[in-house]
This record gives sequence, structure tokens and C-alpha cells, in this order.
Amino acid sequence: MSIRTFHTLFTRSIRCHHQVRCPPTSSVLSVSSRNYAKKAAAQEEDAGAPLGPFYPKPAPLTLNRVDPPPDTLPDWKEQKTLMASIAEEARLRHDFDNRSELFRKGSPDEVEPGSVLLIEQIASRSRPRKQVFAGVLIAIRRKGIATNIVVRNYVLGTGVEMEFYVYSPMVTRIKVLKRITGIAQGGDDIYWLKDRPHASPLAFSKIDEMVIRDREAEKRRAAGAASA
Amino acid sequence: MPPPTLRPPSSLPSHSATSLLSFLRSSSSAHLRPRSSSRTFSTTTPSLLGRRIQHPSVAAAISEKERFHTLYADKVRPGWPTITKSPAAPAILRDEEGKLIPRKYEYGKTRRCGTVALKRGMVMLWDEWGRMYGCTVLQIIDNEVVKSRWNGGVGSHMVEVGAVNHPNLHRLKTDRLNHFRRWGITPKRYTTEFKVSPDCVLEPGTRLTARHYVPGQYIDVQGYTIGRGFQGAMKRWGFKGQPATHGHSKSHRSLGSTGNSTTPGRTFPGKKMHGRMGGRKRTMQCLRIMKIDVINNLIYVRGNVPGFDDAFLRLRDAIRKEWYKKCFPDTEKVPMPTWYGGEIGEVETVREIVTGEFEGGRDPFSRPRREIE
Repeated sequence: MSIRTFHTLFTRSIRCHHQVRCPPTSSVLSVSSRNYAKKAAAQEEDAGAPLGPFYPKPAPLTLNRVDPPPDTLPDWKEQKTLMASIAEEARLRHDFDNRSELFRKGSPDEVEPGSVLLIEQIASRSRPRKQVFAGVLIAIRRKGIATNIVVRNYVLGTGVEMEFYVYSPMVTRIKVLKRITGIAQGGDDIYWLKDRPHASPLAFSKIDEMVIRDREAEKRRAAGAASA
Repeated sequence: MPPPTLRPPSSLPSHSATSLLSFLRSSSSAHLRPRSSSRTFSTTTPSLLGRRIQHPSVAAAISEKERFHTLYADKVRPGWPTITKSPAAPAILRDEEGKLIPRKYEYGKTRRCGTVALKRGMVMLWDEWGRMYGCTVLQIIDNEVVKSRWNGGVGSHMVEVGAVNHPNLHRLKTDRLNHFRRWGITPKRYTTEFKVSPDCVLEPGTRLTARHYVPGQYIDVQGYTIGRGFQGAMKRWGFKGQPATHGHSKSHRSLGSTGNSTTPGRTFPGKKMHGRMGGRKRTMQCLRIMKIDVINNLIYVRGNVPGFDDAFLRLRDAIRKEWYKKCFPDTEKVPMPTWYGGEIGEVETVREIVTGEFEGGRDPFSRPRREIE
């Protein structure tokens, strides 16, 4: 567009030739910080009671010995055995709702990349407001206690990938909305899905209604538990 | 002239060296002196006395009796400046009954002994606020104090700590083995010395464990970095190199220019160039201890440390934090001079001790909110 039209569109003067609707001066050009703060305060009131400090499950007096994986080099000074034992014990102590069964290779509840997951996390323990993200699982990175997953979804038209550390205390709930197998073919990631979203068996647009259905089911369950 | 009687060295009186010198210098022994003045006395005297004579200045400074039977012996080298003040006595550790005298930690005055640890690996930990940290696991194995001494050249007490019992005693050289035998310690694979203040001098044989440290304190970790061999300037110093295309010939990873022209007409010493990288002693300072495993003697330290797995590391209380009096969360609970164990018969009930600073701290994930009217 020409400089003249650009100027006329954004001018507040009445002398412009085009019938330009001038935007009001008060609330859009200078953002009202008071409104924003009120909205933020209202959001945080429904955060819930602050959670206390996070402690993993107490450590048993003896460290259970775990043999290192069989294809590693010989263990000259018991370093690999010690670290494998520490990692295994840390995993057991940070796992409160048995979510390691979802990501352990060979478990009956194993989730494959391609499935749709819903993840609830909190930003801080003093104001535990739940943030929900749902999407297609595109990668599982198995690193012991630092195991993390990558979940992909489209937010307002933009592709978004989020990484979650599975044993983090800030990740409160991991739920499988739809279990899909056969996409990854034995692998741990399906990064090609970023370039070919149409190749996923479930359309990304359907994920929002699955989240809504899950939220209603949770409400009904909570109401049923309260009444019973 | 009858040959002198051969006597063993330890029974010789201390004035034997000076009497020998005077004997050799006297005119009656002119036929025994060497012809050329550049040769030392040792060429003629071994046959007379049956033992090796050292250089006169060394022989006069320490007698053999002093060298082997003094706790604070310090070798005096000829030509080196000697410290005029006398060695300070360490503070008395135990009273008449043998009980430990309680001591307090004072910033600026106290310097505790350090320990030797092995780097075991890294692990992920979440603290009480839910923050994630990469922590290094350090293990303290068989740490014992070998001996303490006064270092006159430095002017302070030194405590020698040994780590990891040696598995093959037949591989040890005799001097090293005798060093441990003299102090009554099982031979160790690694020994190092720590500078301490007089109230932290430890007895030989004292065991050092992970309980020497307090969770929440800061430590310095010294170790040798992983050796990377001869490396180019791009890896060693982070140089950018030259482009891969657009005509650059055979110089994609080279240094480029090494200086100016006729003036100064040389390359300055210290110019960053290709060379050997790594394998140097480095200190990581002010690393926070997140957790202590009391039964396995493990210390979980936030951050990374130099060296490969199973490398020996020297740990000590962080000196920069000591300057600003922030090294320990609570000075009252610092084990002084070291952790000697609880009451007799007390069994460890808890395996891990954590920092425990949730109560007074502020949530790092919460932003300060403006008050709404």
C-alpha cells in the first residue's frame, strides 16, 4: 500500500478523505494495566491452596544394587553400578502415580509416539494454577530420571511443541486421551510429523473436543465423589 | 695409621660431621685430601667412615635424628630464605581425659581441612520448590588423615589426606610404603595436602566422611580437566575460522593473522594458537551441596566439576563465600574440626540429609504482584 493510505488509515484527524474509523484513544493504544492486573488476580484466586515443599519418597536405608545395562563397558570401579542404582532409586522415589509404566519399554501400558496425551502442570507451588496442554506425542527421550516427552499441537494456527520432564513435581497429571499404535514402528520419535501433519491418523483439530470431554468427565467424577 | 672403627649411622654423635671436616682440613691429613679442589669430600670419606657424607650445609642443618623423629620437620634448602618466626602450635584437640574440646567456626579465622572425592557421574534433582538441577555425585572413599605438619615456607599448618586404599601393595615403591608405615595408615592411592588454621589440625588416622560437610554449604572442587590432546585454535580458543566457500583456499580452520607488520615485527608471547588442550588443574568455585548420603558417603553438588568419571578431586569449603560470610547456612552446625560421629552406639536412621531451606525462602517461580486497590 502507498505511504498515503498507510498514513490515512492510522491518523486520528477528521480531515482524512477516506472514511476511516478512528480507533478510540483510551484503551487500545495505551493498555490498561489495571484491567490486566485484575484479570490476573481473578485467575489466581481459583489456583487453590498453596502446595507445601516437594519431597520425593523417603530413601530406604540401603541402596538397592542395580546391574548396569549389559552392553556397557566393564565397570572398573563400580561407577556404572552405583550410578545405575542411584538413577533407578531416584525414579522410584519421584514416581507417585505410576507414570513410569507409560514410558517404560516393554510395559503393558506403554504409550507409543502418535498417541494423544493431556498434561496438566503447575507453574509454582505457592500458586498452583493448573495449566493444561494436550497434543500428539512425537518423542520419548528415555534418560532415567531425566526422561522427557515432546507433545505437539496447534494453538491459534501456530504449531507448538512442549517438552515435559516426566518425573518433575510440577507435572501433576499425564493422561492418555487416545492410544494409537503403529505410527512409530518401534522407534521413539516421529519428528517427520512436523512436516506432514496430514499423515497423522487423528486430525489435530479433534484434540480440543477431547480435552473438553475429559474436563466434563472429571467434573462428573468429582461431583459423584462429593455426593457419595 | 689404624682404620677407624665402622659404626652404624644412627649411633653417631651429632658433632661427627664437624669433627670430620676439621680432621680433613688439618695439615696432618694433607696426603688424604684430593688433589683437585673441585672434587667434594665424598670421594675420599666413604672408605674412612663407611657411610655417605652429604653436603656440609645440609648435614649441619638437620641431623638424622631430627629428620626421622620430629613431627614438624621442615627441610632447609641452602640458599632459600628461612622464616624467622617459630612454628605455631596447633590448638589442643583433646583434654586430659581424651575428650574432644568443642570448637566454634569463625569466619575469617577458621579454615577447615578438605577431603578427597571421586567424581561418579551426574543425576537430575528437583529441590523443594520444584526447580530442576543437574547434580554431580561425588563419593568420599577411605579418606584418612595421614599426617599434619607445619609448612615454614608458607607459614601455616598442612594436613595430608589420603584416599582410596591401595589394592596392590606390591606395586608401591618403598619410600611411599614407608611413608604410610611411619604414620600407621593403610597405603592410599592418592594423597594431597590442605592448608588449615591452627584449630583445625587433625590427628593422623582421623577418618573423614561426607558428614564433614553440611548440606546447603558451598564448596570448591579442584580437579584435572579431561585431556583433549593437540587441538586447533577453533576448538581450543573458540576462533571463528574462515568461510567454506567463496574462494578461500585451504584455510578454513586456520588461525589467520598472528600480528601486525614491520612494527612490532614479531608475534607477541601468549598469542592464542593451536596446542595441547585440557589436562590442567582447574577449580570450580562456589558449588552448592544439595544433598548428602550419609551411608554411602555421597555428596550431591549442583553443577559440573572438572575431570572424567572416577577422577580424584580435592574438595574444600568455598573461600569466596567465606570472605562474605555466606559459606554455611548455619555456623553453629558446622562440624569442627571434623565429624567424629555421634554418640557411642548411635545408629544412622536417615540415609539422606537435604538442605531444608524452604521455610524462609521465596518461591522462585512467583513474580512479585502489584497490589490492586
